[in-house]
Amino acid sequence: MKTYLGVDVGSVSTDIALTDEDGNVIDSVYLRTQGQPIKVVQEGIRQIGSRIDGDVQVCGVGTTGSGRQLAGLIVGADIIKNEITAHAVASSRFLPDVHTILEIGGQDSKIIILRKGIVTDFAMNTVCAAGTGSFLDQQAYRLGIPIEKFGDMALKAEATVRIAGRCTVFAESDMIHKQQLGYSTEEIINGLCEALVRNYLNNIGKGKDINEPILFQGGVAANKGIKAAFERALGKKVMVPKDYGIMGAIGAALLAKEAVKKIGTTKFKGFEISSMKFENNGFDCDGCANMCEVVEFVQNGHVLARWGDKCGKWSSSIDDREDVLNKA
Amino acid sequence: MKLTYPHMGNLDIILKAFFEGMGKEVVVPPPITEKTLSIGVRNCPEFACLPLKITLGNFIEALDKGADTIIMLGGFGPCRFGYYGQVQREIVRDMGYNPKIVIVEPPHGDLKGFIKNVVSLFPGMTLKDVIKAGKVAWQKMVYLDKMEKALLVLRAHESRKGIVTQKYNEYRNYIDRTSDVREIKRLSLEGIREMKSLTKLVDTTLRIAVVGEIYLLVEPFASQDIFRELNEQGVEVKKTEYITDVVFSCIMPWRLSKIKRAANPYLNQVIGGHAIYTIGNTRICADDGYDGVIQIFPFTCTPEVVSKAILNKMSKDLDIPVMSLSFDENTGQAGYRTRIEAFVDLLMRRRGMDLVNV
Repeated sequence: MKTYLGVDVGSVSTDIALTDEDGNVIDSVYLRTQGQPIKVVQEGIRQIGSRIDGDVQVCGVGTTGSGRQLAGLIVGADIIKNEITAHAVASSRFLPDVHTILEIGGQDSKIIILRKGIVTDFAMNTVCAAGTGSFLDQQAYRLGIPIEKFGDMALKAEATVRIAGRCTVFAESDMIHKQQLGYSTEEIINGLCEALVRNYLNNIGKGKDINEPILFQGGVAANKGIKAAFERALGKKVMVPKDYGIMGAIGAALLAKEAVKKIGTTKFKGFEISSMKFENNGFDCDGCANMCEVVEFVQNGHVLARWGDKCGKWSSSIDDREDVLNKA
Repeated sequence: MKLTYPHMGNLDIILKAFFEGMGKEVVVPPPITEKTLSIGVRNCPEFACLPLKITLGNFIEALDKGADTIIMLGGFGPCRFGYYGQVQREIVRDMGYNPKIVIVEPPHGDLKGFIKNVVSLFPGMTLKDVIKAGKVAWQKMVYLDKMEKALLVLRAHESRKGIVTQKYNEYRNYIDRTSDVREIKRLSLEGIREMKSLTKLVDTTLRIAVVGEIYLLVEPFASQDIFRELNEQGVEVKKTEYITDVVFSCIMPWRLSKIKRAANPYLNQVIGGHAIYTIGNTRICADDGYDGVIQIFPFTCTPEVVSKAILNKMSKDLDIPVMSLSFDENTGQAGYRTRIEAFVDLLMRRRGMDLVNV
């Protein structure tokens, strides 16, 4: 069977999807990145590799997410694409006439507006991570509630509590005040969901035409409380796709298929990469006052790429990246 | 007297030519690096914008190299830049330096008065000397900008990453070294030809216009060289304002009128900073058939924040995608790269180009 791999290395989680030729998910892995993208990508690939049958042939691999360049070097990606395009591609595959994609991940959130399958507008959160998964995670921890139960609890709330959502620091002190006033945990959680949605719509959704059909994806889409809060705030129906958590990875796999169709063969290095030795060596360049931290990416003792330098002295010292990749 | 002044794109070469022509010794600040930025960030008010911090860093680094007189531009209108010279005077003194600081106010339509002012800075020099030095500086300004304009188009098609930039820097240095008016022109045109010879032919290409605050437009360090980033993704870039344009706007009011006319349906008065240019140029580029517009500005820049809101409406009205990026002292590139890539993808899809460009 012909299959495609998509790897999405985000700040919080790393997702890998193995899809068939039509983009249906055969297998997937969800791992916490924990600041160790190399290890996690290797581990994910190992898990997928250990579970597939002999007749499964990987015909292409694509990477996305903030760690896409690094992941691309590790796996030998046929295509490396930003997460906005990857999400849009995956969503259009599941719902061809999708108009709005609301995506909330661990550290960032975005909105993508499409017309006839083409992205016409997008926005991402800027400096602040107030309305994202990490914040919910933190608050769940503080309240002593497993994050998985967060959504169900929010739905049980009987009264609404208004919690300031502009900034996590304000939100937290507001929550504590409301708790002291005697509101139930369910009501507080629900208030938090609404604050997050309000914050998202004010910052990221500002000035955008949010029309149906609306897809809600990213890790936070698991939270039913947020979905309900979105529906209340927008007065519109919000759908959560089955594979909401790995849409980026699916998009990367779909793009990989396109790329391989064009190039002919895949650059995928095979499942052996999970046992290869990858290293990141860093050194400070002393060529000028920038003192750039140059990072060297080494596979089995062979330098694959360098980056981090402003002037290009180091990154361009590896002449033909493609060539090196092929040899490696 | 050892003069110094802030970096801002090609300004280092232009002002050096002028001041050296006036018989002064010049200390060009070391190229802007993260160290420059760190000095600025450490010593400037936190809420001030990036240009204040970088230019202060320039001054300190130049003073450490032996400069004793600082030339800083003033300004008018409700943009904070106009009093940055004054603020820097205080900061530099607080830091224990004691240079002479001269703040030059722009001509504001009165070229004669401006020249008179400048001459008074250099006792012993005649008007004739000023004109002679001015001519060389002027020529360098015009032809450096011309060469940079070509760079932002040609680099999109370079046959190997980095070679066009290399050639550009080579010719930029040649121009820096000569003070022959005719030679400047010849070098610039030759540089453009040389850069062109390093490119490959392409059939379709995207064109993006970059608008926004002037310092961010002119000084590539401040925007993490967004122009190069776009070029390296195969996009031709038009920078809407160069130093030449700023100077022209000061001495030829009708240029501003043209911008004002274009901006008029969306913004009918000058609200300070470069807002009117941001709006006017966006309109002009949309009419010119550019694929998209990117607005760049320093974080906390009020005129540009106002423009950003107006650009939203213009984007819908004129059917042209617009993306706004604000820059501050953070030097991480991943976030910007993702947005720029996604924006380029969006424009490619609009043009019906294939997203999978391998």
